[in-house]
Amino acid sequence: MDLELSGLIKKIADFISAKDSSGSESLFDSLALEVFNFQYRRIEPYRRMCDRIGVTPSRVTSWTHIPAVSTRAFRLFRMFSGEDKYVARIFKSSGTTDPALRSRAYFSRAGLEVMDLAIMTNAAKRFFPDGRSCRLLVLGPDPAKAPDSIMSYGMSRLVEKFGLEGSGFLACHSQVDLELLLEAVNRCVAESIPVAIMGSSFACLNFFEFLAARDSRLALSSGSRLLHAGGFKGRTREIPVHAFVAMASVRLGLAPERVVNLLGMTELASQIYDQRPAQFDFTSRSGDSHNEPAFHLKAPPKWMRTLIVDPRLPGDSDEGSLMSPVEKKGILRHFDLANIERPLAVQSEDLAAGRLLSAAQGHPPPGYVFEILGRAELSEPRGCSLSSEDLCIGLAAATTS
Amino acid sequence: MLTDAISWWLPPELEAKLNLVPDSHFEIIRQYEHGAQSISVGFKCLTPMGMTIACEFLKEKRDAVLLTKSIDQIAGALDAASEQWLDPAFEHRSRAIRWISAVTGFSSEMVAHSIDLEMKSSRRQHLIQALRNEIGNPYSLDDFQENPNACGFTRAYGPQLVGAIFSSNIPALPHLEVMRAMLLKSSCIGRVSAGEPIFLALYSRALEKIDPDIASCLAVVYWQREAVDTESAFLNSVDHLVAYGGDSQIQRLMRARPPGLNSTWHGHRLGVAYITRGALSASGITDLARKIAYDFSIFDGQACLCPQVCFVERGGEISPRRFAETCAEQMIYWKDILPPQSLSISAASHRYHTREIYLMRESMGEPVQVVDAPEDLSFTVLLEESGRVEPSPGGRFLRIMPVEDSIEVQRLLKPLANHLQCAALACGTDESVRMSEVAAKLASAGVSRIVPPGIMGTPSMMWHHDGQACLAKMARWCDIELLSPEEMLELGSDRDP
Repeated sequence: MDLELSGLIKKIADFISAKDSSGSESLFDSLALEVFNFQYRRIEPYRRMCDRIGVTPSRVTSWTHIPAVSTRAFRLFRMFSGEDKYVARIFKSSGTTDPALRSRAYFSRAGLEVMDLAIMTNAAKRFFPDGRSCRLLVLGPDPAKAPDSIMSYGMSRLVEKFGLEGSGFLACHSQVDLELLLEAVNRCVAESIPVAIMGSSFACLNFFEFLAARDSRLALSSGSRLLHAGGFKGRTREIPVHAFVAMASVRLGLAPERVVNLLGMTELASQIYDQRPAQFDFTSRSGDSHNEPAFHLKAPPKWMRTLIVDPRLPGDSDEGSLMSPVEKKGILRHFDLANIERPLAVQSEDLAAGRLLSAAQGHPPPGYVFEILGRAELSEPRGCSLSSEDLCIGLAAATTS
Repeated sequence: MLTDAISWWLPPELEAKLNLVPDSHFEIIRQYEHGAQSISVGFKCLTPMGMTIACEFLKEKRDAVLLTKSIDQIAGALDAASEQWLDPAFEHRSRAIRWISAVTGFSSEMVAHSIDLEMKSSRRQHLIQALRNEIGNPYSLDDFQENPNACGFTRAYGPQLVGAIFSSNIPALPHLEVMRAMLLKSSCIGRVSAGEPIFLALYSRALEKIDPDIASCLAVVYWQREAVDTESAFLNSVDHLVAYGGDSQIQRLMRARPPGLNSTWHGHRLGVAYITRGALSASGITDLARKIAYDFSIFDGQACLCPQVCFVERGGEISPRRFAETCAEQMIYWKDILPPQSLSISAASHRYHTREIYLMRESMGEPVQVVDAPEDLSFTVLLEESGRVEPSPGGRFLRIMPVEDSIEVQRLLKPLANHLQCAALACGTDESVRMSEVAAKLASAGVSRIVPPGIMGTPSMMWHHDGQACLAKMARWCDIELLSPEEMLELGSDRDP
């Protein structure tokens, strides 16, 4: 039994569960520093990285200075504080068939329990704030079919806690699947049961398009809602958020505040939801008219912080960035207290634009709310020097010709 | 449409013609942003009909105009153009520097330097020499010339119309193809790259002032990626295709072009540097490191000419590690003179993560040492013994690989044979035998140009670009033979073989 770990887990679990959020800021800070200290000692690749860059616990006095680990490191190194015998579950990122390129997130039994708590607490506040249970229809494989997927796992926790009878996972690829899904949704409508449709943004869009092809407009029962995860990053289809929300409104009869987006990552135990919309204003970048529904900005839960970092500015991660201009563009750096056995500070490659809100603006905790713009992809024109992308294409062509 | 800059050129006569035909062309605007700089650039897109009209026009002009000009006149005009571009007071030069910097993010110092490098290698002497190198007697493009190798006369002709497709963001690169076409008395129609659409339009305008006839044989246009019909009209109208691009672009064009269309391909390339142990002397190390760092800094590592790996033999007076450290100092030296390209957040993120992972791999005991990698992401110097040569992540990325000898390097380069181009080779003053040996190994591996360090970025026009005789490829010949081969032999017994 790892006493130090269980002590930390208990403190963080209490912090997550605490109803009262006063004093959160300093408590978050001290917990983060405690977790950093633990991780420095226990996660070898992390310790070596901290030593290499000369940023160690004795030199860090605020959570903003905790060295963040690149998401890419989760593919290459074992980023876990415990021994193999404590590993209860390993999640792997998707998006590529090459196993060497998938992030791996290790969890002990206790670590899974903290994640469960984080998942439920967050969902209760951001997706089921009215306390209503719904029939949950998840568009995607259940954990038995996709044991590597942290998203399937998370969805199954939600089904368990918030799902009325008849909740479950549905495939959503073929026409047949979509027809079965439609039947399931229609049953909810017929029985006047609120339904929560949950899945990747793409799966939901597929369903909207399926309905559009039949010119179907459903009127889901009051209390129904939709949760979509992942957005449209890195794919050929791209529709703006407001168009997606409009489709949900037309096809399912859902008001905009009932359509919620979620950011989840294999490297993080916690998720980031849209904050409740219509509370905060965000001036549209493209000069859209004021008739556009309010952008759904993301706000981390109280046991997380997210910074927007501009990688072009050295040292753009320290406290200075919390004082920086009101709107900022950069890549997201997350600090997740529920990541106890894996690095709590994670540097992603997600591009975002965000706004810093202080406690004074009625936004606990202070920090960034943000909108994800996509992945930091290298799509701009480049030179004629050979790149690894060139080689991949060449190899593919050689094997097909 | 008012934009900050334009990317197109049409001879006035052709422009007037196209304006009379509805649906022959349309304009699009692209916005480029780098940090505080923002610039809008206008593109003239031809429709299939417009393309056909333009190509017809250019072919007629070639016959009516270029064929009546002499090689000396054409070389003279091109030389005058190069000279102009080298003059700091030339108005188009400062405009080009400003606009290309805004579009590409390259510092204005780098853009100016690139223009200088290109123009200094495009003088009259180079142009004539290039023809001599591949065509033999340059004046065979004017008229039948006596052929010293046979008993008779030879004449050469270039294609009527060369079509060029440019890619990449390297400043001023396209003008090389215009010169090649003109030297063969061919008209040229070029599609600019969205990555650097500025130079060719300004070059054309400047050329018009020098020689409007020659400039009337040139068109600089655009069509969007999806405009396959326009591309098809282009491919079916030109007599020779020159295409730059990555493997996928080239493979696509290979399939799309008419089967009989002669083509010259310039794909993406990987350059190397090779330092023998004899070159690693304490007295010469700083100078050598400065030259290597320069080669790794020009064009911010993005040109095909740029090196991506530096092989350093072990066992010299200076160790590979010490050499790497000296190179790192020199990368800082060049940073001041040629400031780095301004980066988008995406590009910077990529470098940021790459840097983080290298630091982690080093700290986990993998065979890689991060010799220097400043937090501002301006350059990286690594010492790596991974046993594999891979393309670098881009930017000023100096990867030093300690090696035993050129046999090892030949093995390492084998998988990249189709993508090799330039090699910088440094040997000791007493290593002439080794130099031949290493050069031979590099050449057999697929390298098409070997130079001393410091000039990787300035190929001459005599270089067989990507191993091809680019001028000769476009030529066709007519020989007048006055004797039979048997008779030539009888004659030959009196002559030196």
